[in-house]
Amino acid sequence: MPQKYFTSKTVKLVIAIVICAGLIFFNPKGFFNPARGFFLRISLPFQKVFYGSSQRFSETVSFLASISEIKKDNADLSRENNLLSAQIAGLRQVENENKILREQLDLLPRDKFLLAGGFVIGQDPQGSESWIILDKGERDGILPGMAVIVANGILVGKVDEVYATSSKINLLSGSNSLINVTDLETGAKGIVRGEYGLGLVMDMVTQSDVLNIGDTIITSGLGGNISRGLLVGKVKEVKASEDRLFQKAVVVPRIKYSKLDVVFVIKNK
Amino acid sequence: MSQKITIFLIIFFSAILQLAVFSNIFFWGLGPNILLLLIIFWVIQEGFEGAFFQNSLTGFALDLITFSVVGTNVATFLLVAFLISFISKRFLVVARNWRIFILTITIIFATLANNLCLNGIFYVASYFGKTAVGNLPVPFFSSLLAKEIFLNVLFFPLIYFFLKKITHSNPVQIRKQIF
Repeated sequence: MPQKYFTSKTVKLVIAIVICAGLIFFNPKGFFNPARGFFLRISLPFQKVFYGSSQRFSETVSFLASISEIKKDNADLSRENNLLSAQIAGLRQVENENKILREQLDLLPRDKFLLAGGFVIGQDPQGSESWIILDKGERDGILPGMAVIVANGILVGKVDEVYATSSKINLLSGSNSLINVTDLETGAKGIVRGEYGLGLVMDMVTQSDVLNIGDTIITSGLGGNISRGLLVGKVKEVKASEDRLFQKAVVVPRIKYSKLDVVFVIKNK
Repeated sequence: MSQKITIFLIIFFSAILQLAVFSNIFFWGLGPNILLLLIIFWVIQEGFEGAFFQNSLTGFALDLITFSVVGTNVATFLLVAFLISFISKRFLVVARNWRIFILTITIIFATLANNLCLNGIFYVASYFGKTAVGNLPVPFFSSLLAKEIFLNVLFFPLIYFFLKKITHSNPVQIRKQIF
């Protein structure tokens, strides 16, 4: 091989790549966690300020962009308000029924969850809505595997890695996410996984189970630290899996994961 | 020493911007890859070897903030830096009149190469059962990658003039090879 290929530049690159390959393939995952924890700790105050400011900026831009629609929305909301007032009376009765059913199903009432609230201070820069960073960590009693919700018991993800003052939350829409779920209306069971930030798919539903468009999907409470009964989303589309052995459904989440600012970690199951 | 502190601060705040600001304010939920743009700037200013320390540190910072296994982005950035230095040496010096065009091509090429390397490392590591390399990178044939390229091209002049200003006011001048 000609000697011109063995320049100091090439040698440096090859040595660096070999070291990196060694780190990638042989390094235990948590080896650099102290360094990561330190980095997250010193960046925490900056991230809090920057993330909060950018959220406000983003909201202002969205507000300005939608100002022409506000008048129409206002009229629609007034109409909806009257309608909802009438529905509230009916829902009071449903609330009582819900309480009784939750007791029968041995579910923890939502107001009994031991929650640790925190601010989102960072998110996946690749735009895939895979993960967020929360400003609460080990010191606040956060542990890996705990469920993360927004108000009203809507599940957004699971705690993945915990550091002293912050933690990484894997969102439901992330490619690493797998959650056991059930169809509230029909009882069909399956697994919800993320589709690279493009939405959620409920998979591994047997052909004998029934899935309907518009059904509500909740967590089943099987295998893991996630409580039963947390809302995941609604079924938008039902189709057969590629191998035709199972059914799968496209699930629309109730919230936009990229716009999260406050979330709650459920510390008890 | 003051140059190293400046570099560290640039990388630190760029990483924070990437993590906490850009992913939030852009409609697509993804911003320009500021750290990659830093690499491009440093390589065309100082060459591969001159910017070796900065490139490794930038990759390390990105590995830390994106919860990837340390080494993934270091390797990717070094490979990209090597390729950029190859282009910049051959074309940027010779075709001075076409500098803007060549720079644009360099940014597009660097973004594609960065993504290809990341995907490559991810799938090779997955093949060997190392699923902990991090989250799935942006797929190579996706509209997200096109958006990232667009934003990188758009933001590079800002990064370029900002860094140029900082490095000019720094007592230890960064060595200039090309411009």
